[in-house]
Amino acid sequence: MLTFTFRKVAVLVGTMLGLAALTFLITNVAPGDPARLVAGPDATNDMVETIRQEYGLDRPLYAQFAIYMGDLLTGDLGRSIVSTRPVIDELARYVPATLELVLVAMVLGILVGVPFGMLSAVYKDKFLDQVTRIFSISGVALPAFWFGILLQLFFAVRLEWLPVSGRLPLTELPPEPITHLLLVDSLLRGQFDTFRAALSHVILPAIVLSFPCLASILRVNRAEMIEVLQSDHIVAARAHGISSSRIVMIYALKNALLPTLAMIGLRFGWMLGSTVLVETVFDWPGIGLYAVSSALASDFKPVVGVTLVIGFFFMITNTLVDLAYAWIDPRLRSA
Amino acid sequence: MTALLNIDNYRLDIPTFDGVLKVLDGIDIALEQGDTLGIVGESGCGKTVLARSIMGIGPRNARRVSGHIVFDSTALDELSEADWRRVRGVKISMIFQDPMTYLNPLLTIGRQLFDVITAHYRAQGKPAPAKTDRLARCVRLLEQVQIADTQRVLKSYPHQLSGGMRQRILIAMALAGEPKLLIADEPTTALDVTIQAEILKLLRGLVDRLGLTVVMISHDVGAIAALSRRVAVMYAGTVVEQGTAKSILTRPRHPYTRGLLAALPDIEGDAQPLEAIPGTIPNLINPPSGCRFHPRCPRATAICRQEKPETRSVGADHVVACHHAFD
Repeated sequence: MLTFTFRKVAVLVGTMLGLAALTFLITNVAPGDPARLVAGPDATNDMVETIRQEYGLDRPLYAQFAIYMGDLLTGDLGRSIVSTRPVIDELARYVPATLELVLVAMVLGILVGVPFGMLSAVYKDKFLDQVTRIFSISGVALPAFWFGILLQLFFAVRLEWLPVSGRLPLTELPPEPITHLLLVDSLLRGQFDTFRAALSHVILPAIVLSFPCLASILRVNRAEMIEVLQSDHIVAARAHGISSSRIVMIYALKNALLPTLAMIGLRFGWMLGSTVLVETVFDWPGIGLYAVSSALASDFKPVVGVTLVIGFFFMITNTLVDLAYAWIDPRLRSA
Repeated sequence: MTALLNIDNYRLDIPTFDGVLKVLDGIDIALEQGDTLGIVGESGCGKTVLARSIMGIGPRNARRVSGHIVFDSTALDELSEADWRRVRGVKISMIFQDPMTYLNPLLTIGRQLFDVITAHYRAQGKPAPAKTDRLARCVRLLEQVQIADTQRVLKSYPHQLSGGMRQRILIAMALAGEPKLLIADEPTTALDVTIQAEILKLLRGLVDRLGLTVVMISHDVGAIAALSRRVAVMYAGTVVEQGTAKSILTRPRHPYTRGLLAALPDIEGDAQPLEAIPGTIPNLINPPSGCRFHPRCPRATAICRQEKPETRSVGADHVVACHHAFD
């Protein structure tokens, strides 16, 4: 297991370097002269040339790449043209918000998707299964912005149970940061009112974000459970007198969890990259909004930064999924 | 003396998309305590469905049309799922064809064996003994099936063990509840020939030592002969001939049994071309009328198409269901 972990981490580092190289290439083949863009429309050729030298854009491509990689390793992602602040500082502000939203959505997706997928498989073609299936199909089909607005109208405007948007009420001070995740920090600092406020804000956007993910986790888990429940070793476990509940919860679920885990990993990356609609509807200060507004302003450095962050999280999640795979399935450890 | 296992006019249907499969058509089998019965037949003749029905793990949608399976004075086909737990593994247990797929690939052997032992206590409503005692029992069970390296095996996953080893483990699991009746569903089919002999020898020894009652299912007449005192020959959901192994193997009366035995290669004497039974097993949605074997039978006449043959006695403990049985 240890060598397996080392190998996976080595692959992870390699892929990250690959992603960094790829983003570098893309920004360089993208049309437009970055120096002129930075200098602005009224700049003279001399001014553009000065900026070109200042940014090292006159150097050969490999030298630029070396500088870029060096900067990356020291955490320097350049500055945003619009705000002139370092991209890394802005990411530090926006990434935790998105991460918190995605994590809550993921937890929701797993907590609902896995057990209901399991029940749906056990009671295949019964009433519960039919209801779950309708639910999961609509989960994939409902557009996020429409579903989000619907929830806002009902729970925030009509019932007034939950706030309409934002991450915290304006009157509430965020807790002193430890992890930068409000839910975690407020708990660690013992500020339970803040925790409650943060939770009530994250619920609606998390539900909207988790819905398609929940639906696909549910469907994969259901399909896998149905298949595993028909397999020979389940027949044998029944014949040996193992109780039905134990068969479903341990003998079958563990096997069915493997493809479900793969789906969870994929969906995590997908959610990170698709928060923008949900963030817009719920006015959530995350990287989705940041990336889109930067892209609209042709502000490339933040876009590259966001791409790298999403890519890195995606890879880390998938490495974790790989490790979990090996942890669950002994056959993979020796492979 | 009443039989330990009594299957009486048992009929089973399985509804499918294409129509109703009449998989078992009036099975009559009686087995005394301590006796061994081998069921032979081609693939698809219903022998596995029959074996699983005895264990209550037959196809979910199967429908019993008539008859009963009575074990130890209990009608098994009327048990609830909760009652079944007091039977499976404890009174009747089963060993399977392919030991690879019948063990859970993600759990260690120790875990699976331990779970089986624990489940038996729970099923009987007894408190399970201490964990160390149950672990010691795991070791004893493995020793019983002649596994020497017990500690390593208990920590292993199925894929780390050989086929013969896995089959020994499945046998150990089946014996964990000290059952009265052991059903062996093609226990040697998926194994190498040398391992087959070892497993058969092991089973033979266990059956003699523990006084087990055994129903063994196989299409391998040799394996059946090695383990069974009595033999039932199945064809297309019916038992066509039943009796002592000696009497059936030396003097088969049913044309199908004759065909089956003639299809075996004979290693003694001169090489002769093997005889095959013409045709294939019938479709069980629309089985042939009368005797289900008549379309392939060299002795068939008009009556075979019209009337299902009655089972009649043709010797001491030897019955046959055929209008034109051999003398």
